[in-house]
Amino acid sequence: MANHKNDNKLLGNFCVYDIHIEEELYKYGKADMDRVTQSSNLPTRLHQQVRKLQNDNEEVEGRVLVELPNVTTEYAKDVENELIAEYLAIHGELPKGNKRLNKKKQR
Amino acid sequence: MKFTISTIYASPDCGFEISSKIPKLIAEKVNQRIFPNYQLDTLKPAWTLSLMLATDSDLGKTERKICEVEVFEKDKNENYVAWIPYSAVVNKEKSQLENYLKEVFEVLSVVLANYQVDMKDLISIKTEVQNLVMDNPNYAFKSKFKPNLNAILERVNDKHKVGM
Repeated sequence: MANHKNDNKLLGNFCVYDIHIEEELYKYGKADMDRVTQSSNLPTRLHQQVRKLQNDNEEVEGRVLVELPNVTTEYAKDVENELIAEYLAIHGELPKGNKRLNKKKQR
Repeated sequence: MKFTISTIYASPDCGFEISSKIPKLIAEKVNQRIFPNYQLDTLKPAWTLSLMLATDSDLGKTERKICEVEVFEKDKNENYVAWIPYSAVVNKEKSQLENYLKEVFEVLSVVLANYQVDMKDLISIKTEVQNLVMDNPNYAFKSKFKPNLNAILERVNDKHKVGM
């Protein structure tokens, strides 16, 4: 049985974040709060995404929107997906950084 | 190398009312005025020296913390994370902008000292940035899109109750 947090039923501490580039929403994402970068104590996933984006972009800003302690991976994914769906309903398009993910799901 | 600044607000509702154009402006000034003078623009071409400014809502934190540099060879990136105490910026005695600039330039002086940059070169940039952004509508803070988190969490909670 899988014991990593790709297993949707596994409990963990998550957060959902957003990233803005030049004051426009770029993407929503979720991060495992139990995986922090040792040197910075930031959630690794968020740290990594902002770090890579700032190589080629300006005004990169990441924000933890909500902390989700003791929930399943599936729960955290659902929160992330609801955020993306809400954005799509309001703005008529997906956040740019979430578009590729959505294409994968459609296959 | 080129220099960049990004921001991470590491807990909910801990944002500064600071436009993201301001760290961009500071980075531009450093690239234009500091890096050439210290030959840092020609050091490690195609590399990025990145500074991530982080904060969270822990009001008990009162000290700045600048983490050790991390080098990412594959991404050609030297990355610093600097934690700024939330209470140092968001206090009512002075404007957030004044406090933010003070904190950021204190961080810069420490980070760039690793590259032998003299603090006095940063002081003139700080003054320039301050004069440019204060009361300038082009650098005014703009609120970002706020998702309806309460409604979203309610829907997800309902879904997971039904599934149980």
